[in-house]
Amino acid sequence: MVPHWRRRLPLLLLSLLCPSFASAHSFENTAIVRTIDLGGSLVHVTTTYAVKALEDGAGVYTLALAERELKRTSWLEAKIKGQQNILAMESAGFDGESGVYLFSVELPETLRTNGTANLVVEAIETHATYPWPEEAGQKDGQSLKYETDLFVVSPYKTSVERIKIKSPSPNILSYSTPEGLDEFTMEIPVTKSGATITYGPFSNIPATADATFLKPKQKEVAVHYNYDHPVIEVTELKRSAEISHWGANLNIEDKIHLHNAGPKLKGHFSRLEHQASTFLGRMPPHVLPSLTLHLPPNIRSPYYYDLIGNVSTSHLRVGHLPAQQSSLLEVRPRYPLMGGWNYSFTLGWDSPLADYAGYDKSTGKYVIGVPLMTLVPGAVVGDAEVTIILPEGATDVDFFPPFTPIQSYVKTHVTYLDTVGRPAIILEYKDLTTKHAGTVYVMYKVPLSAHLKKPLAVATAFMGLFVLGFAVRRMDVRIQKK
Amino acid sequence: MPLAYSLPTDLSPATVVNASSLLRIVALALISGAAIASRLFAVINFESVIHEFDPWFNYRATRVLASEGFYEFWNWFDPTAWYPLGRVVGGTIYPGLMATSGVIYSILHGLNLPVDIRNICVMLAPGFSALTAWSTYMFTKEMKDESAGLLAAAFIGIVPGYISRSVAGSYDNEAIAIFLLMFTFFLWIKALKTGSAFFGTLAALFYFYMVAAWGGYAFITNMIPLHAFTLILMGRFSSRLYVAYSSWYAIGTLASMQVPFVGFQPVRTSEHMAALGVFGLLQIIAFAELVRAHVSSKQFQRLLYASVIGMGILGGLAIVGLTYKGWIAPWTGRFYSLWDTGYAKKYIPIIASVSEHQPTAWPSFFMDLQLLIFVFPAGVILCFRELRDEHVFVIIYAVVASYFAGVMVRLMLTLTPCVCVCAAVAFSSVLDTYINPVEPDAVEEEAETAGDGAVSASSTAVSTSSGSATKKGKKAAPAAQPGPLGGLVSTVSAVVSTKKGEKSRGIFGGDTRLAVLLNALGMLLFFVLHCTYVTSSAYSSPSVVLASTNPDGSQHIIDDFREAYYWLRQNTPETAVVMSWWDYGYQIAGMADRPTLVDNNTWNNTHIATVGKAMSSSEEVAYPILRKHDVDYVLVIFGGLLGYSGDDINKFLWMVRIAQGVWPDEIQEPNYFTAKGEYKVDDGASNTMKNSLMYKMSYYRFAELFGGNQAVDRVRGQQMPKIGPTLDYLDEAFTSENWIVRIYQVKKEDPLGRDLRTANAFEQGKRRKRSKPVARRRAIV
Amino acid sequence: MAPKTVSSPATTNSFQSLLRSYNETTLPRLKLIDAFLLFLMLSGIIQFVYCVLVTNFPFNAFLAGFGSCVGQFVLTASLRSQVNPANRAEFKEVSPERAFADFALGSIVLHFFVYNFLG
Repeated sequence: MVPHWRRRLPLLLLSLLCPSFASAHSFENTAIVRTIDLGGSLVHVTTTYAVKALEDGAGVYTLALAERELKRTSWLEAKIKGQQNILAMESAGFDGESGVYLFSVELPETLRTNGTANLVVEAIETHATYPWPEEAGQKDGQSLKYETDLFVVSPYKTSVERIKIKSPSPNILSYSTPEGLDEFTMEIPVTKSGATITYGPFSNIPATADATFLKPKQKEVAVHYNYDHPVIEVTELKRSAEISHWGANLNIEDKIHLHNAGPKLKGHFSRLEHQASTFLGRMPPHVLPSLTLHLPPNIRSPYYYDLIGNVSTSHLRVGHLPAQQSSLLEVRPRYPLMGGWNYSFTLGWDSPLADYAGYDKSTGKYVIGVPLMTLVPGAVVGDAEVTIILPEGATDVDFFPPFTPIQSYVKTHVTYLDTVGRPAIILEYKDLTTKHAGTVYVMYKVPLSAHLKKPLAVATAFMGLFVLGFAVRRMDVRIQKK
Repeated sequence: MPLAYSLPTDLSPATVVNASSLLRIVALALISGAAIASRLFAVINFESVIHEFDPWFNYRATRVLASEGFYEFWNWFDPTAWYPLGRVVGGTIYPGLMATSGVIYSILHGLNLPVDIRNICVMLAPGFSALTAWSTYMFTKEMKDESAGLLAAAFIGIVPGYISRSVAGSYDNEAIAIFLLMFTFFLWIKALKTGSAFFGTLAALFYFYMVAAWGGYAFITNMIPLHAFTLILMGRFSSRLYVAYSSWYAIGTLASMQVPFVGFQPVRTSEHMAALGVFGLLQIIAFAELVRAHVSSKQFQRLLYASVIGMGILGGLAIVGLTYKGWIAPWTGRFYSLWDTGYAKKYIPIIASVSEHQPTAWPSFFMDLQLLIFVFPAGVILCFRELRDEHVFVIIYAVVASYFAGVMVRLMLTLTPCVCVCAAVAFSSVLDTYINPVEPDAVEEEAETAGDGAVSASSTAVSTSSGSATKKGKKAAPAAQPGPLGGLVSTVSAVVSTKKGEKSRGIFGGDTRLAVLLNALGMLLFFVLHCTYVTSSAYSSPSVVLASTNPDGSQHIIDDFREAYYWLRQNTPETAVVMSWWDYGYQIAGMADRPTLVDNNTWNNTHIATVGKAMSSSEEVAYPILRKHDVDYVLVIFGGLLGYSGDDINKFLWMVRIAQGVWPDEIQEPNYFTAKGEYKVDDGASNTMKNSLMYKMSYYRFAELFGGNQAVDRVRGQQMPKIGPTLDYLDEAFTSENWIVRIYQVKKEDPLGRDLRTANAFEQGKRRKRSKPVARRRAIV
Repeated sequence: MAPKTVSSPATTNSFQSLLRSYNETTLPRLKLIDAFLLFLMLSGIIQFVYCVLVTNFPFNAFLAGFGSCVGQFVLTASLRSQVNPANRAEFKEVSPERAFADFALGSIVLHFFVYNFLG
């Protein structure tokens, strides 16, 4: 579950007035290990809390996120170590003094005094890195910078804390060495081994989600590292999925705006140098010549075009169930995407409806599962709008998105051979990541009369034409009398 | 009466009529299908894309019309074209094409068929070609009969001369104009035949549509008066002519002035004066006829004629006088170039630089029309044999259009329908004669002369004598049955009345007939093959997308233009001004959506010459011009790597010539040739050539691509110098995959106020002597 | 019109005979049409003279007015020749009723454009 603070802003404001620290002192962190996996536009942060209850019946653990962390985090999930179940999480207010947002996590079972649990909190941060230097020549490498707060923010005391930052390549250009940490550690606060930088261990840290700690003692660390893949962002994704019962077809169309968020191209693009580097097989890391997308299996008639027509440079390998779980589409933009460049395109395909939809005899409802998005590997999706167009005449529409959208509504969409239009469900999201690739389930009823509406309308139109032709042919329009 | 072969005798005439009418409808439907299908090669081989240059503008305008509505479109001022002047689009185009697509678009969307506007634009030309086939059928039906009409429809449906301008994606004015041309002519003939103001009004309405759709409407404006005038000279004045012409001219002229681009031209320019003159003449003659009906005196009649002729001359003189006074504009340059093929080259290089304005080469007649061009004269001669009013029209049309087609490649298009009609008349005469089972009486036949008798016997439109087929000669026979039931009915009824026939051999026997028929069918078959071949190979390339063949035979798409245009669209600021030669203006506006300096609407010669000057002068001279026009990017087309011959270096001389026309002191064509007078780009190129911006932009870093080997320009087959040109005032911004499109960014002024060349040299560590700062030359614009 | 301007005695006679012949042979309804034609002609001439002598300033308005006169004139003249029994043989397919329908349609179209052009 992901807390959706944006929708719950009123709630937040409410809790802002009366911050509840009911359970603030019921736990203690015996150990916190935070692992930060650096990447391009996505950064995975895994934090393991070894928790010890200080009183009986402690069942709600409170997580805290600083303001910057919250802004970056687009996915947050808590589990008990070694278990699959995702723990329920709720926003628990905002501490105006320290600027910390709180979330309460319900543990599967309440702990007695000195009872322990290992809580694993996974988060994905987006837009957390930035290219440094901001501009790079065509042949230069690419390096990114990541900045974060050193101490894990928590409303509880912590005995031992360790922060590991893993870079994708061992080539780390620089990392900051925080000072003034004698209070928490006697050793050198930072060590580097290979691609990993470890801060800590720090011991005996008081509750950090507190203005008295955060303001004077929180440190900021930065890592400057090389990144060997282009940093891709999908600034806008518009998906529309159209269900056709007559054609037994599910058509999915994605309108994608790509942006290379790597360092901006310094100077100008030289085709000569680009061709030379392609020829030598030494493509600079910030250039995106092509993109491999995983599409569903069994797809038919895919198309790939942009605003000015078909793009002929793409290859598709259709996967068939059950041997292959996905089809591979290699998309080559019209031009190689250098740092800072944009490219927008439309991608669409047909799939057999039977792979996605089913009919529930007991309720008389159709159920369809529509994938929420196409994964662009390693990319964050800025704004996403998913439209699911149901057959004409569908009633009793219920939809179950995998997680709460920012906004969702139903409107009427009119397309080929429609008489009154079809219901379309629209879901709006922001900052989607790999973890968000879920399925939207939609249930609806289509009465028989609605099925027949289309052929009847077409038949009536043609009949009308014939009758008109018949009438015109038989009508005597001559004025003169013979 | 002897029959060559027996026919079923138990068919009622009603069955024959109904069956033939059904067959006609089916045949026309099939012809429409073939016409549309053969234009789809472009979509199948490539994709549903807008072709070439002008269609991109039409497409862009149509998109504005479809999204903003008609009134917005009407008042559309496009600030991005002809930067910084802008262009009042609503008043400078023929809106017929866009309006047609707009109407189709709204109808389809009203019917809940949300077809993409691009697909409407792409499919408009094929759709209208089906209508052209139908209108040609109607037109030819008036000339001869339904069977000839069907042949003509089939010819026009697949003839390459028309396909060249109407393949799917060729979204140009001609796409609908040929249909309008033929339909207006048909209505004119119909009006003339029946003497009905109704058809005259319809003709005027379609004339209006034509005026709104294509600049070639002047062809109708002059063809119809010419026809009327010829008829008057032939002594064929009739009240029908008066009714038809007057109603057409009065309404049509007034209607044509509603189109903003045409405006007052119909009363102000010489091209339209012939129609006005004939209109006046007809009034006078009609009045004279009226008076004559009431007066018997011979002398008075003579007087009357004298005054009529006198007034005619006076009117002509008045027109000439008004022209000299300046009230009526004299003929325009484009018009002169129709009479003197060398005119344009001398005075208006901008017109001469367009390849479709060149005189037609002989092979292209065969390529575009194949066997029709041989049958064409036969059809014209057949028209002479009957010489009704409408045949006179076809004859004049044939003569005039043949001339124009010889003068300009582009006007081949107006000749094509006429050729199809004449060829169909000739072909159907042959087929009629040899299929007709009735054996002529050989003795009588020889005595009769074919010429004058036929004319008088069949002068009226409705001649119903079914037996006349047997009396007439071989060739005249089908022409004498233009009754409403068509040739088939009269033939069958003639056969039915004769009851029995005997098989005979010899010259009228089945074998001889079969030989001729098979021969004719073979020719038609080859025609179809030829048309299909030419259409698929020569006329279906969008020119925006190029195709080449891989070694394994598969098609390889070269998409450099769109690559570069899309790059411009996505990665430059929306207000970035792009300078290129005018050929690419519409494409840049349509695909890259960026302001351009000049485009294919070549209305401002000076502006084009400015671009020509910037391209053909050295960097120092060009830079102030570029800065003055706020140019951010310069785009050149370079085919040297791939061997694409339509590139800017090959067009370069036209830029020089056009610039020379405005600045003869600064740009001189001979400077761009070597001492021997050759046009070269290699080591031997003249210094002016090597220093020109165009040369530098085309070959910038080209030699480096060959990695030390000898660089070769594949278009011109010349070896390039090892050390290529350097650029000081421009930066390479983008080059497409095959180097066809190269885009350069114009540098801003140096922040330290240095000359850019000095700044550049400084950056490269080659300090120049400071003693003599290079004075920046002012642009003389 | 040209013949009227000539004024030698011989032509005056023939002019009178023309008038006489016209009065005697023409049907009354043709005369009605002729009266309308005369009116249109006068109206057109007045507009033309105004244009030449005074101003042609809204040129499109002048063209529309003048065009409507000329257009209506020729349409009416067409109607006249179509309903003239003397021309029966020439207009086989156009009966007088049909001719009037044509005339009405033509006039509507004409005045639609005139109205649009007045500005």
